[in-house]
Amino acid sequence: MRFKVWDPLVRVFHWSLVAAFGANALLVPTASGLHLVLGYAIVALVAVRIAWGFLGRGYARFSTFPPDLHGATMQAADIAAGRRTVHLGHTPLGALMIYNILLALAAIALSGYAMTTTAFWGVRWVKSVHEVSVTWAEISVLVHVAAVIWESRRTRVNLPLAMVTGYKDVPERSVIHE
Amino acid sequence: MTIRSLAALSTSLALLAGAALANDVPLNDPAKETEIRAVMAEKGFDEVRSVGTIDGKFEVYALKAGTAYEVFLDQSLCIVEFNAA
Repeated sequence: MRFKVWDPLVRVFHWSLVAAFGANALLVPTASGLHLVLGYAIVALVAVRIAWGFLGRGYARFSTFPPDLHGATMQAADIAAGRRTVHLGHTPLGALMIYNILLALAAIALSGYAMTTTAFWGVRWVKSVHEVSVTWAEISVLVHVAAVIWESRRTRVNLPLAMVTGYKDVPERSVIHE
Repeated sequence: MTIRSLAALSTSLALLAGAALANDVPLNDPAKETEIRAVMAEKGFDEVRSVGTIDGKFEVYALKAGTAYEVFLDQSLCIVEFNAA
């Protein structure tokens, strides 16, 4: 069965963030003007996504994926037992990863901006906060990618493809959580 | 297969990051730092915030008349480059 889950804004946000964060973390020299431009672009992307979490419809809304430890525990139990339970929107563990990454980006943006100001110019601890939060975000991205591969195999739903097309193709006889 | 490709992916990301982000290392030499601070004061900088080393040069974050500068000095403590923030 085919379900429309991700609207265009959610998908464009996701892949734009991948491109901008990947470029800034791995390719663009940190002292360059481009590094700052991409940093501000990421802030703009996140601001739009947060607004869309309240103004958007369907699975874009934060209310459809609140931080939910009980749900996350149930999903972990499904994973441990190898059950093929499918979530149509963000899964509870996926939601925790989203909030984790948003918070990490906020820490990166704030410390990165501070590094450009006279008040925090050359202040070591600000730089350390920036570097540690970038490393944390990079580890989070690797865990996110591993989890997406794992969950795609477990549920037989191609999650990366869904983030491209907007549709989840769910196998017949799957147990579906709204 | 999946685990192995992820390991390969993370290794290549780490290598790429190492290449792009050649960060300065804090200077762990108080005597040299005192010398550098003296040179900076002589050149009219009011405040030195931090001193590091990068690519065989010294990198100094400093202020002059309220403007922030990133200053590079060579091994003989001559200013070879400086950029306003």
